[in-house]
Formats: sequence, C-alpha cells, structure tokens
Amino acid sequence: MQNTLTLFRKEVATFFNSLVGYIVLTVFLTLTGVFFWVFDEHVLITGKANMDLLFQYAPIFFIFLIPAITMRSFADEHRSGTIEFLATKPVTDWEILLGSSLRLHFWCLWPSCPRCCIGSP
Amino acid sequence: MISVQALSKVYGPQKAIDSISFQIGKGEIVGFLGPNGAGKTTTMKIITCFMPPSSGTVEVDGLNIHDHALEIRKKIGYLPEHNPLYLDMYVHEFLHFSGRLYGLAPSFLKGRVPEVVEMTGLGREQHKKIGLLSKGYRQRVGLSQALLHDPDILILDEPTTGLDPNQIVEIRSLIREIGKEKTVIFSTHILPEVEAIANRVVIINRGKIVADESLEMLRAESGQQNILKIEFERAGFNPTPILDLHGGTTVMQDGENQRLFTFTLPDGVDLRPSLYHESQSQNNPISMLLKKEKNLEEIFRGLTN
Repeated sequence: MQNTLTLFRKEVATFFNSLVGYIVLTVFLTLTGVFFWVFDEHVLITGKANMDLLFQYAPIFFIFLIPAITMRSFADEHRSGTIEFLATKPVTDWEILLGSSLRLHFWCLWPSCPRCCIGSP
Repeated sequence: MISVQALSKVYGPQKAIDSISFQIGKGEIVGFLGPNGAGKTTTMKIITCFMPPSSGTVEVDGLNIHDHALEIRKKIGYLPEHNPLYLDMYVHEFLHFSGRLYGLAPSFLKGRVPEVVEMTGLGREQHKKIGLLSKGYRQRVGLSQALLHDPDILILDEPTTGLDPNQIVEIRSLIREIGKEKTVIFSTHILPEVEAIANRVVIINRGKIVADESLEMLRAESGQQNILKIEFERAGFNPTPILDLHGGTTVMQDGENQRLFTFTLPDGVDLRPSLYHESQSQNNPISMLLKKEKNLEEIFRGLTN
C-alpha cells in the first residue's frame, strides 16, 4: 500500500509538472462550464440552482479525458524505459497498476471538487 | 552470492543467452564483456528480476528469482543501460521517490539523499530538473538511485557511456571504492575499463560464456608474449650478443627504419638491462624503448571472433 501511495504521489506530481495537467483541467472546466451556463436548460433559464446538468454531462467528458491521460502515462513509462526503473524496484506489478489507477480516481474527483463544493442546494 | 544456473533466454527464433552458468562471490568486481547483442544486458535484466528467463534460474543469497523477486530487488542496486529517469522530476524529488519505493523512511532519506549526491559528485547540479541535466550528470543520478538503499550488490549496465574523460575516471574510481565492500557486476565495451576496475572478467559471445577468469589468468592462458621495441640513435646495432645471452628471444629489424628493432621475448625475461649495457658497449645510445604486453583487446578479439 505504501508503494502504491508513493507511485500515486509521483503520478500527481508529474502531472502538475507538465503542461498536460493544466490543459486537461482547462478543457474539462470549460466544457462543463459551457454546458452548465450556455447550452440546454441552464440555470438562468430554469431559475433553479440545480447541479443535475453537470452530473449528467461530466461523466461523458471523463470518458474521453481519463483514458487520454492514463493511457498516455502508462505508454510513456514503456516508451521512455522508466518501466524498467519501476519494475526493478521492490514493487509488485499490481502496485504499479494500482498507483496508476488511483490517479484515475484522483482525476475523477479533482476537477469535480470546485463543483462539489458548491453542492446541490 | 549470485549463482546463475543454465540460464537461457529465447526471443522468437533467436537465442539471446544459451545455457550460461557462473557464480559470483561477495566482494568481487566482475566485468561483463561482449560484443553488441552478446546477451550481457539480457543476463543483467534477468538477475534484476525485470524479465523471466526461458529456462534455468538465478539465486541471489540463496533466494530464487522465481519465488523471491521482491527480496532480491531490495538487495540489488541497478543502473539500466539506457538509464531511464523521470525528466520532469527534480534530482532530489526523484531520489526521494526512488528511496520510498525501497521502503526507506522520509526522515532517513533526508540525511541519505545529500550523502549520495555528494558521493556521486552531483554537487552543483542537484537542484535542477533531471531533464535539464547533461548526459554525464544524468548518469550520476542513475548511479545515485542505485546506491541509495546501500545494496549489497550493484549491477551497472555500461555505467560510463556518454561521460567525458574526467567523469569516466571519477566514476571508475567511485566503482572501485564501492567494490571494496560490495559485489559489483558491470558491463562495458571499453576494454581498458575492465582492466582498470574489475578483478574478474566474464566474456560472453553469442549467448555463451567464452571466458570466465581473473584478469591475470586470462592474460597468462592466452599465451602472453612480451614485445620490446627499441630504437637506437644510429643504424648498425648488432643484436647477436643479446640473442646469445637470452635463449628463446627473437629479433626483427624494421624494414624502413634501420634503427628500430623489435624483440619478442619469452615470459619472465627482461632484456632491458642487457640492451642498455650492449648499447653502451657498441656506443650507440638508445633513443626510444617501448614495452608492449598483449592487452585485453587482443585477447577479446581472439575469443569473440
């Protein structure tokens, strides 16, 4: 578990060290923002402070965004050879995979944080 | 300490290594030599539990790679051939990350990381991102992560590639220093490097071991001959008295340069004092004297061709 957490922390740090993290965040927030405020029956038309619209669309964006990030990360480990660095450390294959997939969960939650903080009225 | 038994690895139709066996004891510095594609890296990757062998096994401290991969990885510090690093990370961040994967406590790493950085001479570059470092410094980062957990065994795959001559000398002396307490296996294409660091050589060619001996034995067995090249100030030196004095010695006069002679001597014979006296008595001073030993490069070519 300790190793999984270490790998997870590394993944998150790497993400914020590169431009990709910020691009993904911007794309996600813009898309959900547009759908929330501009298209469809948005909050200004219905006059209800309702988060349903967000939760309706967010999973669809995640379908594209999350694989794009995580697949790139795993493929990158293979391409740059860093998988050899990881796989010769006392870490099991499962821990490496779990570290990556924990990050996936992190990415589901992280962009949703500001939205969730607002919460449903 | 490391026991390799009948190890084979097959990639499709190609046998990368073919039933090789050898033992490495504690405190040995073993140079792993071979032409490109001989199977050096494959052997190292199997010992470090990165890939499984097709058949055969490796035991490290009595632990089998098939059943105790994690324990073995803890005992080994490994610098892979292409030295994969996370270029987005800072040097310290990377070393802390690497240390935590070995289960080292953050409080311990706080003291240990600067120690290793000092040892490998990262010094001025230690606060940079790895991506900004030159190849030589990246190699040092790779070496640092291999040393971080103070492993008993160090496996270095071509540790001096890409380094400048000064760095090569530094890294070699570092490896020698480490080798006093630890078992070191390193591979290289640079033959003088093996002569400078290792006390044993394993030469591998087309997946098979063709020599596994101490350097002295290897030199002795390959029929060592000493060659002495000598040039006098004037032509017309008469070598006969020397040949009479030392049986088994042969001489050849250079075709173009009449002042130059090449003596081939049997092992253990030193002609230099007699040559000096003879040059004095013939009143023909020596202007150059060169002693040549059959070097590892020739032995290597003989074994792998």
